[in-house]
Amino acid sequence: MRCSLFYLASMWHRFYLVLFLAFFSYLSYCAYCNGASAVETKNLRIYFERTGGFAGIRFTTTIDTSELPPEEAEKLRKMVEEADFFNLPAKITSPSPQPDRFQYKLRVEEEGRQHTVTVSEEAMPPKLSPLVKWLMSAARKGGKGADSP
Amino acid sequence: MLPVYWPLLKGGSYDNNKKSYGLFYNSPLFYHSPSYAGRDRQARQASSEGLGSAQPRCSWVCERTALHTWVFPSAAPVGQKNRNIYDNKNQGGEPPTGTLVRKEGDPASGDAAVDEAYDGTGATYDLYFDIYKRNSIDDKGMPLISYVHYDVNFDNAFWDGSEMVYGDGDPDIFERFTKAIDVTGHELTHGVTQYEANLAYSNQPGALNESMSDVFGSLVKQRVLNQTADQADWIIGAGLFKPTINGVGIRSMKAPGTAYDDPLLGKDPQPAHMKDYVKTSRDNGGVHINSGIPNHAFYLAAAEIGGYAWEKAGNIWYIALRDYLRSKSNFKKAATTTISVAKELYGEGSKEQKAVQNAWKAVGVLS
Repeated sequence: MRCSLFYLASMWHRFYLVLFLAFFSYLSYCAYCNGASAVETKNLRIYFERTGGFAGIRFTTTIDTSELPPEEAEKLRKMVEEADFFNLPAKITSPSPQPDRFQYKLRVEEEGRQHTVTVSEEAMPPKLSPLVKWLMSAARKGGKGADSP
Repeated sequence: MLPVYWPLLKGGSYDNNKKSYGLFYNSPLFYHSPSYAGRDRQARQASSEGLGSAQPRCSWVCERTALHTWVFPSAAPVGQKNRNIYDNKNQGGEPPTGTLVRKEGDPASGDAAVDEAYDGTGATYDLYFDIYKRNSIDDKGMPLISYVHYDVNFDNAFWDGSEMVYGDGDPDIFERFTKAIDVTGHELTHGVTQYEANLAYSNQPGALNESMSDVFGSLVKQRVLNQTADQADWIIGAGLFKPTINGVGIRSMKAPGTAYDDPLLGKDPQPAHMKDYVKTSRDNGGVHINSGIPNHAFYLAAAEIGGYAWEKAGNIWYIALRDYLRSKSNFKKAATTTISVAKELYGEGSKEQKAVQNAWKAVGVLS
């Protein structure tokens, strides 16, 4: 009796219910959040290097947000987010390189993902500039940090 | 409606680093400038309209369309300096913005960075004009434009293809970059190189490009101080470090690798010999590191020739840069070229030719 065509035909409303539930669970999944709702609790590890310039002296620093005061860590996370760091191209260079300009290399590691960007000073995206300035002042204060692996 | 032969009239290249070979190239009446003049004008207009650093970066498209201007050089007669110093007021920007604070002939402004840039630019112009008969960076009386007080905590100076830019340094390591006159000579020489050999800015040609800038930067300083080769300190960027840093300057041409040794900065990494050539991808292939080798060769040649270094050694290097070196020239090419220029100028087997030859052998470029 249960396998009969009559039974299946009478169950059509249940079938739609399942579809409905699947649709709503899809809506509650935020496709464009890119895991951002969880970022607040994630630690960032940032490796920074500046080379070139008139002096040609290399500055490096490694920052771990878990070792920073909470408000500084939050500020740094915000700068990474505002730079849209994980969507930046790996190499940002100028079509005609200028002598004595700085080159920067940044690697940001977050649980589950990491991204490295090399950028020439003359091609610096304005949205990335605050992060680079913050990291450079840290590198200047802390001297030579851990070297790039 | 432009005539069909417009490309011929307009001149050749869209590339800012290349000379333009149009119909009026080198015309005494007027010539086509492939420089950043158009972009400068835009930037200044933007700054006078109060847009300041909010002006968007000049994109590739903008560079291709806005740069081409006709220049009437009547404003800059041969041998007359035309210096313009702009104050960036820590605004930064690509290209920099600013207000004109001292133009040619104006009295000292009282702002140290402005007046140092003015004097340093003048001394550099004078070396090139008095000794090498060169009329400014392009040898056509190009105005010498400088921006000072660039950005915040900016520990650098650079030549952006059409003008010089200087930062004020930072609280911990660097003083303002106008403080050392050889920095000005260095940056302006990047302009001269751009208009002449146009040495590519990577690996050996890049290190040669850097070395040319150090050589003529140092010669500007030596001439201002009226020093012979054995009296000069051959230090690049003396006085740029804060007193807390253990170092005499940024580089030493006399003894590369000894300019600084500090816990904050590490040790001066410059080699003085080919056997210590540093292979790296950083800093465009170590252009500020391996320049130590040709720098030291110049020092050795100048020291062996004796007297004022700008007179003979400087002249040999200048003619090599102007007439013989090309964008891909390496150290060996620089060595053979300077030796043949020395022969051309001072004779086969002359003291000068031998000095240049010995110098390149001593640094291991020639065997």
